Amino acid sequence: MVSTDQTPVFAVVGHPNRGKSSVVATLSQNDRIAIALEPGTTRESQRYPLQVDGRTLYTLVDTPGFQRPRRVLEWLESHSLSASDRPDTVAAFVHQHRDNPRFRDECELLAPIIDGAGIIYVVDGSVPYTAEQEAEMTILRWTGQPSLALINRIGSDDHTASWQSALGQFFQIVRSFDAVRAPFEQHLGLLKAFGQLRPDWEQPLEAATGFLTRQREDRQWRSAQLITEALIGMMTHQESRTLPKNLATPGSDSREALEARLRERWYQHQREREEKLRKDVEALYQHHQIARQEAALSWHHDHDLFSEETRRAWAVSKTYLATAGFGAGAVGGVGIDALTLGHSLGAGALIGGLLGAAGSYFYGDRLAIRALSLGSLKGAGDLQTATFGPVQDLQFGYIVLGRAVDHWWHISQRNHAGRDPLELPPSESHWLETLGADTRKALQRALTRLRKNRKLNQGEQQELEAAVQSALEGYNRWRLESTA
Amino acid sequence: MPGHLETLLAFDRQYQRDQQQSPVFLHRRDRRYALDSGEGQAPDIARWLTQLHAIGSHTADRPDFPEIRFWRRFSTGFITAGALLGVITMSGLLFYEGGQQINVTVILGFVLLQLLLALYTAVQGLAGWQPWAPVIHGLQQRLQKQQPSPALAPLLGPMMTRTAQAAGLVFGATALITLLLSVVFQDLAFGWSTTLETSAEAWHRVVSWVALPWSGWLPVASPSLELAEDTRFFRLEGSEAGTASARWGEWWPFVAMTWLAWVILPRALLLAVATVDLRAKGRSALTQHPGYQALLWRMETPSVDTGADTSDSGQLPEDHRSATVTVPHAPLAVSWAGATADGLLAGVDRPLPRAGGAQSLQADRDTLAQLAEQMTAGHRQLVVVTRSWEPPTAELEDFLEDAREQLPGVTITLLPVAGDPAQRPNDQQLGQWLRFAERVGQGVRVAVAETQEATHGVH
Repeated sequence: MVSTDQTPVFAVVGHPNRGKSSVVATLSQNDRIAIALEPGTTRESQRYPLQVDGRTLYTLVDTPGFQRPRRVLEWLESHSLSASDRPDTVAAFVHQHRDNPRFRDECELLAPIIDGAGIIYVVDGSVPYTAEQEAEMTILRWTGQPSLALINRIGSDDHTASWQSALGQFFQIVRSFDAVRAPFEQHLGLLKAFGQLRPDWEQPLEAATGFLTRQREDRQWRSAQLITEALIGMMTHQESRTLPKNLATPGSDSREALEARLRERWYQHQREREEKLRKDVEALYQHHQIARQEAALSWHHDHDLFSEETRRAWAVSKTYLATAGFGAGAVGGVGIDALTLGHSLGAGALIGGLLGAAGSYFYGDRLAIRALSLGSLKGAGDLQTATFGPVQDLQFGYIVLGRAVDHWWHISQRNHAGRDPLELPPSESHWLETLGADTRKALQRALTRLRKNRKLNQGEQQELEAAVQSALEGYNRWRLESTA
Repeated sequence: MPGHLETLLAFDRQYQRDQQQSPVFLHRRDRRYALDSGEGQAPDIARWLTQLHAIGSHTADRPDFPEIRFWRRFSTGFITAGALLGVITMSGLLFYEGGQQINVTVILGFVLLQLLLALYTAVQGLAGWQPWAPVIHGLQQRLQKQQPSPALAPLLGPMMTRTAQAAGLVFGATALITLLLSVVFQDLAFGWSTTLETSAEAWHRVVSWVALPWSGWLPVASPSLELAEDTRFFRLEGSEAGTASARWGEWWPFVAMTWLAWVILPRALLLAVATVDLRAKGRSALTQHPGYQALLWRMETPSVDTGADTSDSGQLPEDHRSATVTVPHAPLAVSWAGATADGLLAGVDRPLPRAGGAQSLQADRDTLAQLAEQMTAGHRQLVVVTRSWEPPTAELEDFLEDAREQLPGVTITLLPVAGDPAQRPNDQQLGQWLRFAERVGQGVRVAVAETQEATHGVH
């Protein structure tokens, strides 16, 4: 009966529509699993192995729900003489009825268990406990396999306590787990609990949680890189067009039309780039089916990238800009002190700081974009290039960053069982002010360079990535503190 | 084995192609390669590329890079020009004054210029100055009709330096050959002359410094003070009178050695430095490439597959469903799995018999027998009260089948009741009962009680 294969297998079983698929979706990070299927239509078990470098550490099996538990139990009771033959009797039932369409669901769900799988029995803790499911629980107890009961609250009511005392009589371990809302640490805790079902399952489950933790850290790091790349691209983006020289003389209608066209393309590009970042981050966290309710990419939509409301929500105060600008400028000014071997007595840092603060204060005021500029095209005498952008506004960088970090946070916290649309309302507070001074300075320095359309070298880009990474951690901390 | 430039370009090309691939696939692919190569091994990019190429195509042909082709053509042209210039320059130096002596001072000045040029080229290459870059870009665009790969941008300086040093070396070599051939086939008369007021001793000291590297082991190429005194000439006075004609030719070993030691050897050394520098910068360009760190990460990090790409059966319920009916008056009724229908069934005032749930199957059969006794000709309606939020199971289907057998001609109506019986079940809950009734067939219907309808109307 017990599988000789050392890889743990867990059959997620239960009454129909009690959240089995939600649990599997969250633990396998798979949002493609159709949740709340019609009972009786899921007829086959589906296996979800966790593989590391092709090596399976454990497998979850999503099974159909019990359809005729009382009939099965009746058959079992009529074919058993004593408690010692119960597991064999269950196996005999499966062999006997494998081709019987009436018991197809029961055979499907019992087959992995008689092959040695651990039992994860899922119940809905939001409905009161009744004795109706005792037939199922009895059948599972008859299999003799290690078992864990999971109270998954689907609705808002809480009947966990009554379930806990009842389930404790049938299962080795009873845990509560909200498949839609449980934070990542609870996923790991649950997997470790799976490992406690049998001594030889502990090590693979421990290893699995280690790999999942590292995967999560890697994803955060990759997110910081993606956000940095988008930030650099959006801050330095320029729209350009080649046109005949006489077509855009100052003050002419054609020039204004050209400027409007380039401006519109510039805005459009920024929205598309932001959307791409959203999709990249979602794909990184394996969310493929999210319906996002951030904002339609329409002009001056309330939550659009360029709306006033967005600006109010995500931009930083002028005092913040001036302070961060002072810090960033002072770092540059220290170079002067270093060159004079300290003979300038720190005046370089002070002057640099003041210049930085003044620049940030001035440029952080409004959405300024380097408007249409015309230049001659080399090698083509009668042609010229018209360019629009890049943005001159530091706040634009902070808005893009704020929105990106907020989206990342929601995605990283979202479980794959969640099916509600993802809402990204603007934040009310200035989370950036909770970051460390070094991170704020690094952000300010990089954004100031980008505003001046200067390329970041590899070291500077890495510094910005590190600052964004710190921003992600800071935002996560800030969110947890503000919801605590 | 491809060169480091080919490796860099092939890596960049693969990086551009990989932009279209999913990160999950890339991670799996590169982690697989790292595991096959052995844990802890430093990644060999050339081997990684060879494996990708070998897997990706049936031919083992090396890929073609237009940038490398251009540079080969450009270098060949530049070096050929250097070779021709070497011949022309030396011929010019030897014969520019017609019948007059060849002024060794001029040759020394030219050697000094060559040395300075070689050093300037080396410094320019090491410092990364590229004053000629627009010319190269323009040429490249004109010949290739495409933008050069940005991956090569940091190597343009070192590549140009190496090409320039190679051309300088060939220039020096062909010039020396021209000199030696001229020595053999011509009667060359060397002398020295200068406008400056200098003595033969002072000039001899300069020449001795120049000849220092070889004076110890090649005295014939190290001119004596007498030779310096004897071979000085002045443009406006005939000086041939006091000098033996043979002495004019004694300078050639010194000139040849000066050219070899101060033009060719420095160029050869600086060419070696430029080649080493190009190699180092090529390696550095590869490790600085934006795709390199990402590749290392993919190779070093275990690929964790949580089963997220496995899609399930995908059998979603169909949307179409039949309409609900009203609850029949004074029917036979049964409570399924503990459902209650307080006040929802008109004409039914006694407690409902029970079936399903925690009851045994025998108890279900007894309930059906009891209902069969109550059924009369006028009462052929059976209402099965269920909990709307509970999913209908096959056990209920079995019970309905048994009911039809035990109660011939009966019309079965399901009455799903919400947690609060006064509330109408929500559409999602009602939907699963309607679809269940459709699946079961046999005239099974789904009812919503009138009070429920009214409540629904209010809400």
